Amino acid sequence: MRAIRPTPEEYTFSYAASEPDRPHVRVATVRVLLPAFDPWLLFLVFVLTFGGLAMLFSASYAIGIEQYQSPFYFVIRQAVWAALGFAAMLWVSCLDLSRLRAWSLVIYLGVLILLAAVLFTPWGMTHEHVRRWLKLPFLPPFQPSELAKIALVLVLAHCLGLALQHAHFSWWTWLGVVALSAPVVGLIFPEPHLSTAVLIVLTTMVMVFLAGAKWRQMGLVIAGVVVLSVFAYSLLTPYQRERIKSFFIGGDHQGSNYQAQQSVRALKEGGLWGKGFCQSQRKLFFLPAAHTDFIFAIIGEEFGLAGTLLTLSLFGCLIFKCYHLAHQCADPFKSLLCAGIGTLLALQVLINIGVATHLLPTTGVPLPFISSGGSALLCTLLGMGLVLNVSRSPREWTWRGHDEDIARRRWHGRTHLPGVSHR
Amino acid sequence: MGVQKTTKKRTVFVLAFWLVCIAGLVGRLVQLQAIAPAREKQSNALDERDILPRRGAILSRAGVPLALTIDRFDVTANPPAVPNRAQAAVQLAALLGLPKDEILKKLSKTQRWNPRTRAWEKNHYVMLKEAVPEAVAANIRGLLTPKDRKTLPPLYGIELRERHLRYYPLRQFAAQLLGYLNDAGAGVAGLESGYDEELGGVAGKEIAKRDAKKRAIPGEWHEVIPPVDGHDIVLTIDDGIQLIAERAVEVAQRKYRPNWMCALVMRPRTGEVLAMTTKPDFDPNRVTVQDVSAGRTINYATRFAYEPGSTFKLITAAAAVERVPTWDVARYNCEGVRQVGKHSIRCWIYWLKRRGHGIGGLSDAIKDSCNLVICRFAQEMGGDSFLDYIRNFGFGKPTGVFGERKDGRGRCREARGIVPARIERKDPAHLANISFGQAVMVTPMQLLTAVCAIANEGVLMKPYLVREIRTSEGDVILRHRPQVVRRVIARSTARAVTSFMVRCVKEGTGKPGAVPGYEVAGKTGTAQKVTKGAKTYSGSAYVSSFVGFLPARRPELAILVVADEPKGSYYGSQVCAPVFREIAEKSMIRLKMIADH
Repeated sequence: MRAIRPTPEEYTFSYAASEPDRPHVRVATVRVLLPAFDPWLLFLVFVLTFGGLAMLFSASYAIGIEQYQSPFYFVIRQAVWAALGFAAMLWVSCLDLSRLRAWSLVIYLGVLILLAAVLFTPWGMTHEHVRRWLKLPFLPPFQPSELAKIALVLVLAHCLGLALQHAHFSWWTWLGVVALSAPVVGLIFPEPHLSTAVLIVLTTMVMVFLAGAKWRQMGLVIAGVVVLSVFAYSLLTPYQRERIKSFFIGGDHQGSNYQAQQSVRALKEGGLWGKGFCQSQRKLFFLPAAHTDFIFAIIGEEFGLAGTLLTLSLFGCLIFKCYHLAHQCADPFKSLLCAGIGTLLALQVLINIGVATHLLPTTGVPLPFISSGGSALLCTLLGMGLVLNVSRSPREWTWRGHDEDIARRRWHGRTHLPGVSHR
Repeated sequence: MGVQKTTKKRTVFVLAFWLVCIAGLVGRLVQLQAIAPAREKQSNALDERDILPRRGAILSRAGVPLALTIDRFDVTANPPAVPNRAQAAVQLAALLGLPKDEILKKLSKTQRWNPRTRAWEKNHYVMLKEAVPEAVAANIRGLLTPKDRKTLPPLYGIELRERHLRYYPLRQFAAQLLGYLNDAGAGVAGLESGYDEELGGVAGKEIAKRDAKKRAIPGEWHEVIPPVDGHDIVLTIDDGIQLIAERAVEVAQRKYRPNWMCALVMRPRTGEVLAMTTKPDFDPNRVTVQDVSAGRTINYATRFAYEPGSTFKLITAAAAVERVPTWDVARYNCEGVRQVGKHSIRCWIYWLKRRGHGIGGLSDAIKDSCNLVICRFAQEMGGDSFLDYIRNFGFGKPTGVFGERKDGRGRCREARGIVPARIERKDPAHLANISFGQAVMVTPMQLLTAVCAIANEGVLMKPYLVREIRTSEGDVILRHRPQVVRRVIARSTARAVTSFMVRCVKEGTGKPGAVPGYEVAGKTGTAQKVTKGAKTYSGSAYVSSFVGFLPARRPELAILVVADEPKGSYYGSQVCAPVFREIAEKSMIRLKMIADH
């Protein structure tokens, strides 16, 4: 994979930029230091990540003191992961997408091995009866299921992109999609990690839909998935069933509705403008998982409706940006990649906030960028790196190889924007 | 080639779907945060907790604790949280000294039936053992602290709760007098109830904002109002004399099996109550339902009004000495039975020997306990002045021995007794009956107080039980002094009645009450009871009593012994006089010991 580096020519320009009598070269300087991302996308990611860190501090200091004798325990770890994530994001955003595409199956297989390692090798880590983590040397435990989401989106975009070059969406395509997503779901479901498994199935369905599956096929497959999920219900652990039951039937069965009630109460107490930063009462152990799955309720309590709407609109903008890019792309791979990442983001946000507002049964889906959880943040930023990468050159094709780019004198691999050097 | 049109269209479609969903969330948030929240404002409320004060002790006059508060621990468990119940049961069985199976059974009660919702729910509380001492609690505490962060402590799920325990170290000792506490820690009987406010102290408060684990949030409002511990109460009860009285009464109670038997010891010159005991008794450390229903918790010395019988003749004699100028020379004949008005009145000797006592004066009437002679004296002085004397001696009113509250009410309930408002003029038998102690009802406390007035040269002292009230730091905030109520009879009258009583013990019915080495003044009493439902006096149910004081010339102790319905023998001289003698003899030694100190 070839990273994009400035040519010696451009270095010269950037040195020249310090000369005040040559103002026109400053554009080139900017282009060198920051690749030609969509600046709004980058801005949104920054705001969400750093705002999220601040919010995480507020939501986690109490439990940090309680469990680890430090108010900064969670926020420091999250900051380290954010730094790692930003580095990874910038690295990914500068990769050559056509190369990445070529490697996508390998990446996918690697992730499958990691998932299998969680379940079947001693490196897998069990915490509170669930086996979701992989022990790493010198690093905190990592959750490969987060990586699996990105890898699956990547490989699906690759394969469906190829399929889209054929005229129609056949049952064989469906078979391929199932062949790719089933192993991932099959390895995540028994961890047990119901929410991620559901998330992956839904994302797959959306991507297939975007790739142009026929309505009739979609209908049949959705019916099949519903039947399968009824079977899957019998495979669920009792506490998962209890949560689903307590949502649909009501009543506080063994306190599984308690979290949702506390969350709603936090939101209500926040009112219009909230109690102020760090002033939340619910996070003082009234609301379990205040720093992870229910951090949105703390936002609502501390910053009120203003805070929740701002957060929601930031996510809305990000989702809009992803889909907007997907709509702009000429290449189906890029289009599906952006739409896939956008779908992951949208589903996580909707499910998390839906749970926090008690519109959905309680499940542990983290709020992207904000919830405590290193692997989730890292993988979200990786996904954003992919979208940023696409935003550099939405109109460009990936599959015919960069030989053609060189032939078109886009040898530096960047988007060809007519007249950009004259702005 | 390019992205298919369907993909483009569907991208817009899916995006629109997400935006609609987000709009739905916005609506829900507006509903929750802008429309609904008015009702939800309680979480800022401050959490108020009571800090229980330590209840004050009750001490004897020498400072021996009769009731005190000690720190104990309740061992409870949260059964669903206990990881290994069998192992925990084994460890707890050794620590608590309970059978292993019993603990295991309690620890296995993870479910609880909720009758309100009619459903099983998790049971988070079982009591394993109440009031465990600190030594045991320390052992359990050692097993409750985790060794490191990863492993649970061996007794995870077991809890220790500190609490106060009211403890009566001498158990039955003066139990009815002290009373006991209910489960809520409030006094329900005896001094515990009468002095509840002083003993109980004032609860403190801890006001704080708390987190979900009920810990005060640092930096938030936190205020501690410390509790004021209860005052200590020092009684006039002398533990030595009380013990003597308890022993003596218990022996007699075993022998004669009365319904109850009580003894009262007072110091005539001051009105201090030195001993007050009633048998059968109970253990205030564990009061059973049977104790309450059988009346063992009742302090009969103040709560029981009875017809005193012959002991009341002392009052008649005192009034007669004052009101009948010829008392020292007047002689009347006792025929054994005499018609007074419509009723025939009999002397007790008539039942035994079918004859009377013969001719006798006032002194002989007391000596022989002669009903007919004493009633002639009563008739001689007239009913109204006799009633005045009865009232002046304090009958018909509570004695106030427990002290009064600020509003004048008595601290503990006391029977008033019954003194008729006026003597029936049409029925001369009414006055005759009162003269030998029928048709009036008195409590043992009233009777002894009145006899103390005779012993105290005619001055009625107010009886009292509480000598001092001290704060927990030891500052005396209230000290009772002997209090004169009134002079009831002249000094010479008192001496005359005393001499009758001395004669009664020396020569008359009170012989078994004589104490070697002392001149004892005493009077027996054997009163017929009106049993429930009957219209007239029973021939088999009696209240026997003996009242007296010693030494006759300079009285140190006045003692009353009352037995209700003794079996076997019912004469006051047989049932109660030996008890009197026992108490008097030993108590005098005890008093000398105190004086020698």
